[in-house]
Amino acid sequence: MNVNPPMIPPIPTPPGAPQESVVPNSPIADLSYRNYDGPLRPPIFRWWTVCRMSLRLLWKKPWFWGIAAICLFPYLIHAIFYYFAGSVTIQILAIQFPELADLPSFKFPLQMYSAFTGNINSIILLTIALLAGAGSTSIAADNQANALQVYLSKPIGKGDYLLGKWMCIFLSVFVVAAIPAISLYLFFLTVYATQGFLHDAPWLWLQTLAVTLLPAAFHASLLVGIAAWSRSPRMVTAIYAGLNFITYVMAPVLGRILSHVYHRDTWQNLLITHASLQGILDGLAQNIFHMPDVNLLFIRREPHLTPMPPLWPLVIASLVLMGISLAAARAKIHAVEVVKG
Amino acid sequence: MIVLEHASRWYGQVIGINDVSCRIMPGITALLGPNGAGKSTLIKLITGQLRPSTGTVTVLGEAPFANPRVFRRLGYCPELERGCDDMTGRYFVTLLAHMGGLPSASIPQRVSEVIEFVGMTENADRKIGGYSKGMRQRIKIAQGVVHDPDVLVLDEPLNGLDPIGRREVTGLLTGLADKGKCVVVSSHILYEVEHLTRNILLMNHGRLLAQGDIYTIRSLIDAHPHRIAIRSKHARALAIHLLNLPYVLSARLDAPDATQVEVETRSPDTFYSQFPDMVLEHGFDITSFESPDNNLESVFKYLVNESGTKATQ
Repeated sequence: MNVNPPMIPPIPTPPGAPQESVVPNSPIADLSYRNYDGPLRPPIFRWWTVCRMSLRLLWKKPWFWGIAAICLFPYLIHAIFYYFAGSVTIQILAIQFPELADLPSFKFPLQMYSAFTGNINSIILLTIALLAGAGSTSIAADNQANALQVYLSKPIGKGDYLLGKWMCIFLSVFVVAAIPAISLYLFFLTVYATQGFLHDAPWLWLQTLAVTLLPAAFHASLLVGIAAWSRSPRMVTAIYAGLNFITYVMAPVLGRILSHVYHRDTWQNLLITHASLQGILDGLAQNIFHMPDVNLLFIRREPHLTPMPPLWPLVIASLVLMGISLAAARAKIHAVEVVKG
Repeated sequence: MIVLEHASRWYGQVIGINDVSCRIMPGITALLGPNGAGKSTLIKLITGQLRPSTGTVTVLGEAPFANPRVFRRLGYCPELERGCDDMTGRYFVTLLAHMGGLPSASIPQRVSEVIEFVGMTENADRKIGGYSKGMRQRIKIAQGVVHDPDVLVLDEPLNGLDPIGRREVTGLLTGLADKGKCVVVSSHILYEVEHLTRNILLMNHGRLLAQGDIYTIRSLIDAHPHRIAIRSKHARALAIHLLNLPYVLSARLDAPDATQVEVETRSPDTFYSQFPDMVLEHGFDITSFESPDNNLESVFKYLVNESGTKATQ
């Protein structure tokens, strides 16, 4: 039996629309090149495109969030510790470190500071920075693949590209640092709001924000500077991790030796103790929380508080390092490698 | 569309290109030359990645170096072997559409259009890391045309492609040229370029040796006589007759069995017009007739050798 296919009614033409755009003239599809006659956006905020691309590739990887989750642990431990034994701990600390008792409302900032400057936290933040700044989304990876030739042939400047890559590392580290810190802050706020939390620590939210922004900006600037000069992401990882590790080990040893030689903690000794990449961040965090160096979980046998290092030399050191790195990156980023003969 | 006037570019003591002047108009133009000829430098000058040391380069009326206005109307497909492997083809093109300045709302449709144009619709959502070389070339072309540029520059687009891939890419480029785009193709695969265009820029040692139509250039090479190979059962008799013609310089029997005669002439047009009459008049049985000089490779060889000889002198 011959069954005719049902007739497909023509699509009604909306008022004002061209007739030929709705019903094709030929049953064969036109696969030839079609011009784009729409508008183009002005070349602003293109850095966000670069940043979004890098973030999407990085944040899509499950292990990124796995590693980031480890950063929750120090804050979680401090929250549990404080919840169950907070007042007892404070009393013990007050006996062991009478200097602490003189500090105004130290208990909450102490928890926050101690969690933030814990070893796990520093290592995770460094790892996240390395993943973002020295991984497959880094400038070094783009250099290796000559991808800058493609990106910089579009109407984006090298400033846009650099800012996009910097922002990727910055946001990655900031998110990983800030989420647990803000969670701990909110925990304090909800549990101790009626017990004078806001009165005791009115600026803790600002201190928390500042201290989480620090490693993000610091790692981002330094990694962008190193990655721009490299064509190998692995080399960038090795250099930056090595630089962190060596200075982190050497600086306190040198500071301790000087302190034994001169039998006192001078500000110069303190600065030398903090003359490492991590030391600068720790020193700045100490100043922001206004806390001497004390670890709540691992109380020393001989009660001894390391005083805060002076603020301005650390600020200047960090700004100089970040400035040099960014300037080096800007000087190096080109679509093509120009070899001088 | 593209104008170079006495453009030179040095890398310290090394010359990239030297005093190059040329005009590139809409259609396909092939940029030819051996390694180190200055092709890549010329492409980087056109795409605004390098600034000329002296002279001027203008693309669409403006200096291209770090000029976003030019970049909006310029597409570039570099020789990108690896990289962006974690992205899907569609995401790669989408990303570059964002960078090219297309509004977010129109990007999905435009990306689908150009992906369809390059024949990658089925593979667009796979990661680039798993693409074949031909697929990579096609997705590079897609990113190059996603913002609908007036000028498209491609660095070795046929390199490493199989015959089918070459034919497909050649078809894509021809399609773009048919739409009025200015397509500049750098290549060292002379045979394939010959199928792509007759319009060439020939470079060697940083100098522009020749530009224009391949056959016109060939006819202007007076230093090298035009060769024509003729196969015939009566090759010896044919050679004797040919040597009597005033515009024939030499006639050489090539094959051991003497079935082919190779003629050298400085007036190929006269030869081609009078040869059929001579064949009919004497009843020669011609089995094949070809000019090995009438291709790009021989022009390239002649010009490069001549340039090398002059440089030595």
